[in-house]
Amino acid sequence: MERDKILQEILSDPEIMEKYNIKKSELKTLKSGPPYYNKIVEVLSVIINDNDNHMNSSQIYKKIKNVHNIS
Amino acid sequence: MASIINSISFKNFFNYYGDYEDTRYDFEEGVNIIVADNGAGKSKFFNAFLWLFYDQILDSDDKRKKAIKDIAYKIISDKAKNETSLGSSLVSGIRVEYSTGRFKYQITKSFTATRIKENLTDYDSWQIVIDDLEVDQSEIILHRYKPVYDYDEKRKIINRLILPDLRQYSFLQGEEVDRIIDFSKKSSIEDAVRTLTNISKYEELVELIRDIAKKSENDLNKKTKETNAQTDRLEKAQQEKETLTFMLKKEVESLSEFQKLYEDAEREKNELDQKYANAEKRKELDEKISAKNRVLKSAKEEYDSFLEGINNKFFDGNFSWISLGFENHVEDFKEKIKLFRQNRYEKRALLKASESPNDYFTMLPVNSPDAVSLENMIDSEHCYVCDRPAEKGSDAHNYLLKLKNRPNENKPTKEFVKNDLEEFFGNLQVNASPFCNKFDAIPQSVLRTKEREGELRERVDKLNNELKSLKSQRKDILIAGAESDENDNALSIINQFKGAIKRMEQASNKIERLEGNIKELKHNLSVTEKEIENLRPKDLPEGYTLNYKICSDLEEAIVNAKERVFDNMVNLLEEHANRHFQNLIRHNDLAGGILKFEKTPAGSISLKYIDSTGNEVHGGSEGFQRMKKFSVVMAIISVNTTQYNYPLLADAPLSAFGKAFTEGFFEAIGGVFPQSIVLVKELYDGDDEMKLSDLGKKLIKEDNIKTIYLNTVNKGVEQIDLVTTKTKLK
Repeated sequence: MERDKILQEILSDPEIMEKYNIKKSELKTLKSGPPYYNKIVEVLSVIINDNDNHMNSSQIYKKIKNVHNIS
Repeated sequence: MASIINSISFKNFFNYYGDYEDTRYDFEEGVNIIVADNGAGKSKFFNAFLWLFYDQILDSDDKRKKAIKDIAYKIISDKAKNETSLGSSLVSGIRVEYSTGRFKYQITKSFTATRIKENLTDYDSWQIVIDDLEVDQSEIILHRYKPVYDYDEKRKIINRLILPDLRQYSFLQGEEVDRIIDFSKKSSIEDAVRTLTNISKYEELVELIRDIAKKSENDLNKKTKETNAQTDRLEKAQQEKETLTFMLKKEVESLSEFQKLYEDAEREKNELDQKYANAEKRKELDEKISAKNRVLKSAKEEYDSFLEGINNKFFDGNFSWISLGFENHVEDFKEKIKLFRQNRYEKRALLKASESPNDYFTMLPVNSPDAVSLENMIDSEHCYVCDRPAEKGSDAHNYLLKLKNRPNENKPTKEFVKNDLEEFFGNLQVNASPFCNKFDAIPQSVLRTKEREGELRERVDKLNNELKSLKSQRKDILIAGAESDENDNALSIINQFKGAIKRMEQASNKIERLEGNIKELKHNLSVTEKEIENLRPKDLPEGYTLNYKICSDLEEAIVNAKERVFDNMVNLLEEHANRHFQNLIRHNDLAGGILKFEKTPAGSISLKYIDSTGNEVHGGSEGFQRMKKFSVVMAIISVNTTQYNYPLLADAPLSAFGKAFTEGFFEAIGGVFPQSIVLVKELYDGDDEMKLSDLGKKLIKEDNIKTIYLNTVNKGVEQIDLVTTKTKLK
């Protein structure tokens, strides 16, 4: 699935992997749908999915704030 | 499933005279070749696809693509036109059948033309009505077509044959390969990468995350202020960050401007490079043309002088051509002159004898009888010589009187023939004698002269052809040269060229400095961000901090991912291009070099050809240059992560390739395109019984070549009788 591939490609950044404890072996299993591996995967999934749904940055940001319970 | 063209057929379309079933070409998955000499319908065949995809036709008169309606009168077969009487109509069209696994489609495009004037070839002699687009669909197993009525669906079916975005790589004519991949344009390889990857998705995400990260920072700052624990140091660091961010933005804008300057200068350099090379080539050709003109002039003079000299050979004793055919006249003349002389002598003798019989019949001494004796004989009227009477008035008396007056008579010699031709015939013999000796040598001399005339004429023709070819080459260079005009002299081109290089160097230096500044600013920004992070109150709600941290980390990660995807694709393209290049040149003597994609300071990708030691190789034939570009086109096709599902339709793609390249081409395309339909002249050999070159015969035996058609036309006939005939060789 294209969304999963984009998600995995972005998170394959070595610094991100180290900082957010993503193991190399787990990288290929990451999905852009629930259940999410961790917060960064969830936030990125929201951005990728809702961009495909043609939502703008303000709408997407509201959803991200919900992820962090800060709305 | 891949789109596979099953057949194409024509109806009264250019030279393809007749109905669809008469002109049907069947094709298979794999490589299909149509071999044709010039004028046997290659480009016309290709035009069918232009009509199918774009409703256009390439007008061979001015090499421009024109709308069907505007050029319809030229499309109709002249033979069909000629058979259509005034007021009657005919149909001209194309029909393509293709399949995609489960379904099969038949697309027909046509127009009806009514003859309204006598002249066949005039625009206003034909009233054109474009017929409705016919698209029929069938499940492959059913073999029964059903019409598609929805216009959008019809368009979709046509587009499915080769997707519009991919047609530039899959539907090409001759030198178009050069234009597809123009490395002087930044967009050239970027467009390819964009077509092949989902890079545009990453670009959208970069835009989004920048905005989202900013929002998350604003929220965090707002929350920090609400805690009332914000210190001066934090405020100062935040201001510092704003300043650094502003500076970074300015430097990035500046970098973008200089990259644009570099790109413009590079493009100008490349254009001038071509122009300069053209100017050089033109100059070289002008010199060749001038030298060839001189040689031709001298050859023509030699030929003219030779022709003038032929007249002299008739009368020149060394050649004596005038006497050719008179061989038997010598003997004849000898006989006749002998007879003439004999008669002449006889006549003279008789005349003399009759005039002076005594000269011939008396024995008297000269001047006797003497004058006194004669006086006595006259007076006595008696001849004492013959002792006979000579009475006054008789012939004898008169003769005595004549003798007496003999000394006083000075009569001119009486002509014994009316026209004495003795001298004339004598002169004739004298003058003819040198000619008579040459009889044996004349035929040989005429033959040699004829051969020489042929040689000289052949030389003049050859020189004329060479000159024509040089002039044609020069004309081509003028056309190829960018907006070339005669006023552009080499010096101004060199100056512009150097100017462009200087601007490139200046821009490059500036870009290097700006990139250094940006790196430093980013570093400072990172340090400031860490400082801000440390200075933030510890009792902030975790969600705000985490939100900001994740968003800013994602911002960097998405930008990096976008660049990584681009670079990976470029590397993959390079790898595939090299693989195809090696396949294409495998039959050449060429030492296989390496194609190298390099990023320029402007961010565009340049293609370099380097040898095994890493040195760049310049020059090479046009065929070689095109082969490099074609390798890249094939790479663009083959790097597709999914299988490439569209056929290659190519008209004369090999015109600049050599024989070895041609062989490599047919081997290589089979591995890249699921189906190829290639129209070529290079495999045609008019002198061969099969009309195929040796390579053509070799290709017939190859397994990957599925069909080969040979197109021929009935030569030497008027346009109205011109018809392309196809022969399926495989």
